Amino acid sequence: MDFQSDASVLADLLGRTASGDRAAFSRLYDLTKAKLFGVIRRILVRADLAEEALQESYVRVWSNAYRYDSGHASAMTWMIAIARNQAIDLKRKANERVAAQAVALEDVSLQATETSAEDSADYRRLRQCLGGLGEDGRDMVLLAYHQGYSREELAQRFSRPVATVKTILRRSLAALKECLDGKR
Amino acid sequence: MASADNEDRDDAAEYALGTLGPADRDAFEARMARDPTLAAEAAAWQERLAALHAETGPAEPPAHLLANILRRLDDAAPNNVVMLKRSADLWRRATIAVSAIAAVLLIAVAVRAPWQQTEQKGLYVAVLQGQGAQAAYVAAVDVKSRMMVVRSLGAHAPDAHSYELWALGAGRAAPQPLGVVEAVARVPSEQLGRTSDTALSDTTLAISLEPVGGSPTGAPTGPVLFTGKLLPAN
Repeated sequence: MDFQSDASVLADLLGRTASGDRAAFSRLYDLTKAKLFGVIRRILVRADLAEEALQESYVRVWSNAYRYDSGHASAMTWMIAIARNQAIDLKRKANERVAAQAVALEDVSLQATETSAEDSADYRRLRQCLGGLGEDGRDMVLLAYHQGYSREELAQRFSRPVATVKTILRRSLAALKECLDGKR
Repeated sequence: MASADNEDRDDAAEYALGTLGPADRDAFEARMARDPTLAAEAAAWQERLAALHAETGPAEPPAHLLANILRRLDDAAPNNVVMLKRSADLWRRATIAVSAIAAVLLIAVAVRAPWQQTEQKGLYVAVLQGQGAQAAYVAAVDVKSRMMVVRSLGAHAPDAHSYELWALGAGRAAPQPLGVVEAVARVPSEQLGRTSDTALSDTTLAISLEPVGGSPTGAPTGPVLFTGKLLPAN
């Protein structure tokens, strides 16, 4: 679904989920499952783990819905954060390093710096700011965000010490924030 | 201290990115729970990065997953059901040393006279807990005498407020108001509307903080402080 335009619908369903409304929860699941599963599948290549992460994510959505604060983040962002955390946890546990590296090189997200007018303004702005980072910084941020790479995995992939990866990540994120905030 | 603030900001960014190690992440989440500014910082980072999901195509999960998830909701801890927002400090001040089990037994006896106790069917009890799983109220529904009794274990509404009781779940579209509770409330069980065995077992009771006399709107307006699920006593 287009989560920009339907943000208030999701927030409302999340509110009703917080009061124990299973019908609202099921509807919320139907509207968001494909997006969350897409997010999870990029981090977890193995289908069984991805399904486990999705189930765990929605159980958490159910039990933590009362914590959701619409003033802080959109409902979709809040749910994506839960799904990413679950997927990253499972990935670390299952140590899926090999599988993730095998697909990483082909990953379109690293090359696709071109945006089109159909993309949201937020996305275009973010892509533009990412383009302003060094190549390593940009790729590290994207691999970490989309595929759940840890600092150690990035260090291995980029043949850099872990401490250097940490420095690059932090410097890149700070530059990203400055760029994004400057463009508002 | 400026350097500590910078460290916090960096941690919030890496938390949202997902690159903090497990120990750092746990430590950051603990700090976030105490520090709303930090939580807002992390949420702002999540929102900034979320635009990247324009690049993530949807993927259809297998159809049976929802049924698995719904089954698992029953096992989720009882305080997961309806804790809309908890006002922790309010309850922390009260120190009630009655264990939940003792409390349930106490009220079960109060509802049903001793000579009736051979017939146990149709008795449902709930312990309403707040922050820290402390028992604040106990409730018992006696189907036969058609009465629900709700008794405080020492909790009482702060000045210029009332506690209001609600029933949730069992197909109710919205919390159903059951009136203001003070030390003891007696509610005819018909007011619950749904009194079949399954409906009672699926019902959760909740107490919210309201203006004196109860919610003016018919829906909870203040934080839900205590909740408990009805359970068959036999």
